[in-house]
Amino acid sequence: MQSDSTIAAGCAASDETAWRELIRREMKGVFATALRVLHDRDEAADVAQETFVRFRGRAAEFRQGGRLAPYLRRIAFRLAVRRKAARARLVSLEERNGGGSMDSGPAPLPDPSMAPQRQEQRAAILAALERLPPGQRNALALRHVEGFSYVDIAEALDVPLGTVKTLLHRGREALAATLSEAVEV
Amino acid sequence: MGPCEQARTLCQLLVDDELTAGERARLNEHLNECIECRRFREWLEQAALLVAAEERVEAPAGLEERILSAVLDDAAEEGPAAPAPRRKRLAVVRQTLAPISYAAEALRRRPATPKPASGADFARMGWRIGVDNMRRRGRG
Repeated sequence: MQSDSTIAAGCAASDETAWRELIRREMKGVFATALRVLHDRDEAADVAQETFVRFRGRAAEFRQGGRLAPYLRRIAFRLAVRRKAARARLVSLEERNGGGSMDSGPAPLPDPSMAPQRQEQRAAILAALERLPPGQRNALALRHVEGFSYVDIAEALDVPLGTVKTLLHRGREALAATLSEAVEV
Repeated sequence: MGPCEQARTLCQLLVDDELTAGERARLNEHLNECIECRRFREWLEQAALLVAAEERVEAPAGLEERILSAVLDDAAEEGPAAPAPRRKRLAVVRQTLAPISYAAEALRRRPATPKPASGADFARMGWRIGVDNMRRRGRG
């Protein structure tokens, strides 16, 4: 398996094999990071593309021994947050006009194999996930889906190490509270 | 910070697998006695599992090729790494030579200092004094 520095050097030299490897490894995570901020698959795909295009201009400066996964997530996260801020006004206008929020995707389909009460719990939990601020949600996903270390999460979200712990703790506490309420209902 | 508050902070670190052996032992001791904190730990663990299950995302079909062509097509349009344009190269040369030309200019503008007297000057002066003395003696 090629090292991150080797792949970055290949990308800087416009080597197609290096680019294929980079995209194969990181595209899904980059897309997911953007999606957790934007809640819109088309926009997240645009951000994912823009992330790699931006990286092309910086690949030659990628530091030896650096890690590409958090580096690319940072680009994606920033781009997504900026895009979300730019469209915020448009969203509020749509909501005021009675249209649906651009944020909310289609509601999850009920799983027929699941008991109705369990389905309600799942819906409550998904809603709680959706409500989490993008930083908390991404910190949790980077930790529990992708196994990032605190240091990598800090780099990906461009926050100090102490903030990573706060994001994780608050996010998990919010979900735990929802879980306990959903079960007790 | 009370014992339950401390234990809950440790529970968070436990879920992240960031506890030292000593902290783990201290937490277990508390959890054996406190049902509330034990429940809190269970909810946290479930929340972590839930994130792991629900936050897995599939990228849209065709995105990989779309990104690949975006990065490679743009790179082809820009062409291979070209040498810096002539104007930029000249600017670099000017920047490099700037301290040298500054020093030369400063030397050129330095106010002229009187030239120190050489040995020949002193000899000429001594000759002149000797001649004057001889004249004075001749007159006397």
